[in-house]
Amino acid sequence: MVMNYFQPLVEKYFYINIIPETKIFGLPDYFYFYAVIILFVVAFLVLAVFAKVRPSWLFLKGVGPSWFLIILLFFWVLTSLPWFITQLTWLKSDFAVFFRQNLVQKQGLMVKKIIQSHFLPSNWFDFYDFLKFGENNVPNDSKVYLLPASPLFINWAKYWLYPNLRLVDSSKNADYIFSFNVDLPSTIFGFESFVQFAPNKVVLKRVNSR
Amino acid sequence: MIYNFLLLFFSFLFPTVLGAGILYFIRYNRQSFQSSFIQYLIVSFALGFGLITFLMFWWGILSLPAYYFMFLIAFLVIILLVFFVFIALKKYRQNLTTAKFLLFLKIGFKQLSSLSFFEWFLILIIIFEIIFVFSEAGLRPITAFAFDALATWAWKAKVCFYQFQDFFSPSSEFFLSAGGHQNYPLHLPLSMAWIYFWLGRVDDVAVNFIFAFYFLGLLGLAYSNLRSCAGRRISLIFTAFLATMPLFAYHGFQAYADLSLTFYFTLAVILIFQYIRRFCLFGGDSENKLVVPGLIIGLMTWVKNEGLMLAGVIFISFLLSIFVDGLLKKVGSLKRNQVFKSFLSGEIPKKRRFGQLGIFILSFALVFLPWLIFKICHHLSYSNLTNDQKMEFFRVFHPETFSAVLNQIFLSHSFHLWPGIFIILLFIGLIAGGKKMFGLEARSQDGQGIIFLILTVLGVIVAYSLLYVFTLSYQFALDGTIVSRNFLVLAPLSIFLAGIVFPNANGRDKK
Repeated sequence: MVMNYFQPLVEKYFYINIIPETKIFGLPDYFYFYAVIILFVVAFLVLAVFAKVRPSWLFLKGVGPSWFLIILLFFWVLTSLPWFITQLTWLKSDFAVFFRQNLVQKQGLMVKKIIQSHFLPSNWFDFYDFLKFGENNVPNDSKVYLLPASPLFINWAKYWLYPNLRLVDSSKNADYIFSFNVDLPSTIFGFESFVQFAPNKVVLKRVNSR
Repeated sequence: MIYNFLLLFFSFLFPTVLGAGILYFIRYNRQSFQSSFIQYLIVSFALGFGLITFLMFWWGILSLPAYYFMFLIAFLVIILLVFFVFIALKKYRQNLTTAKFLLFLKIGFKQLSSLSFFEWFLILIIIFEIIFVFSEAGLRPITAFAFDALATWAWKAKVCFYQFQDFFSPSSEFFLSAGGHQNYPLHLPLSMAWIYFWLGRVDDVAVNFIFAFYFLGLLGLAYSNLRSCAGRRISLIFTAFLATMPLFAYHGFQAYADLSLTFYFTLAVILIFQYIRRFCLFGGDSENKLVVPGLIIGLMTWVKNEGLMLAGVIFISFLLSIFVDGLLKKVGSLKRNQVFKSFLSGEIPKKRRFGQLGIFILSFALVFLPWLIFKICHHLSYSNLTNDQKMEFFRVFHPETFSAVLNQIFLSHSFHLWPGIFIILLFIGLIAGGKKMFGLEARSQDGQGIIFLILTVLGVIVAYSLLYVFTLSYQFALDGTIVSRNFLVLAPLSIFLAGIVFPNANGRDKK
């Protein structure tokens, strides 16, 4: 019962655009608010029509504006409790993960956290470590092509490899291929295995590259 | 650790001092901001940070090395600091005594002890949100859960830091960091780069504090302005509404431009509101008091492409509020075709009205035009689709976006229950205080300002609706990408508007 009330949201990367409603006892939080507002309006109308009471009198002299505002705030806080719990959960988890970590560690942990939120298997969690491994093993200013070529991974690699390495959008222009969890054929034309980070996580080098 | 913290502190302090210097030289003092030191600080920060990025842009297109810029700004700010210390010593040496300082502390303590349990409760909620935002800003690297934060803003900032001259060179492959969103304004990446230059390295965590300060600044702006029109309890209630708005707090530690735009937009509108309230449209000692709002509106266009549209909304609302003002003054005796004449006549000389309007528009153009000309020269569009796709209105018609937009505003958790509450409170406020706003005899200056605020809110809603229904942006409205973020600009303003129209805002609970 209590857990139904305080059900925190699990953070997703797209929360930046919109935050979905929290559920209270299985119903969206706004349901309770709009239900009460409709009841209020109906009650006002009933009083105005049948008891000949002016709604403005009821509001200004009866309940009083300040009290009306306090009632609204009470509702606001009550329906915000799941959100507050969500905030506390995020704070607790972020303190546990990021506190006293340096920048590089934080970036790696954040990537892990985002990959977890995409429900990818655990062998994807070390993508950031793989990038850093590749960066350390490849000469500066090399051109690198990344596999898998999905926008999220490409943007991460482009950002973190810069300024030491340059990400290119085709293997034709690349000196190296960073292949992360991609089943490659035994030979790739023009490239040979260079260093291995873990099984299925390898850096390939162009055969004629220096 | 302490050294880094100090550098970060200076990276925020220096723009603020620069902003205060500008305010000083254009004769803006604390009295110009309703004697509120908080507002003076916020405007200094906004103006200083905006101007730093504006000057960085000029420095970049002149192909000068970045470290000269840092040296020049540091030199300028140190001179300003010495000057301010000298002024302060001269002003307060005679007046500042231990007795007065103790009295000041005593008044502060008395204010605190007079807070009721309910007010303490509200303050604790606000403090909790501030702690949440600043903690998250300090813990998470910029990658967080926001995709574009890294792919667009942080990427540009990083390139700007490592290859400052290439970043501004059209022949470079790193020109405005090339690739997607090359046409996006530069305020945010340059702000981040400014902090990187101070720290001497790219720090994805430190730059989050820019957004946390925008969050804090908006809370301060809302509270201090509400406090000048309403009682302490009501001001705290509305500030608590704002602080606990989920999307608003979430953007306080995510490197997206929407909170920056919200900050500059809200600041511009509130400064114009104060101007109308204080000088009753061009009256009194109002010379040059539209310069700062003009500059801030100009800076909006450097934050996001939508800033230009919002600037248009503010100007139109301002002109319409003059028109409505004239209309209400003359409505009893004026024929329809004479309505416009009311703007030209009246007790304020025509020269003064047009002079002030001219200064207002000029200060906006001074900041905005360089960016516009730069965009035209490099064929950068205002579209958010692709670089070369123009923003064309009325080529498509998608009325189905209306229901999607309403759904995202009223039935999501982005603003919690605020859109519904806002409509109810505005409705109640307009019924209870209609005379104050629209009455012919009892109209107050607050009323004139409120008309301007209402027109601005309506203008923003209409502008975004046109964008969603008549342009290719409809797809982003339907898939939930932009609606909540776009309407974030209205969150603090609607809080302020609801707070000042609320009945009895000036009444019994004023402390």
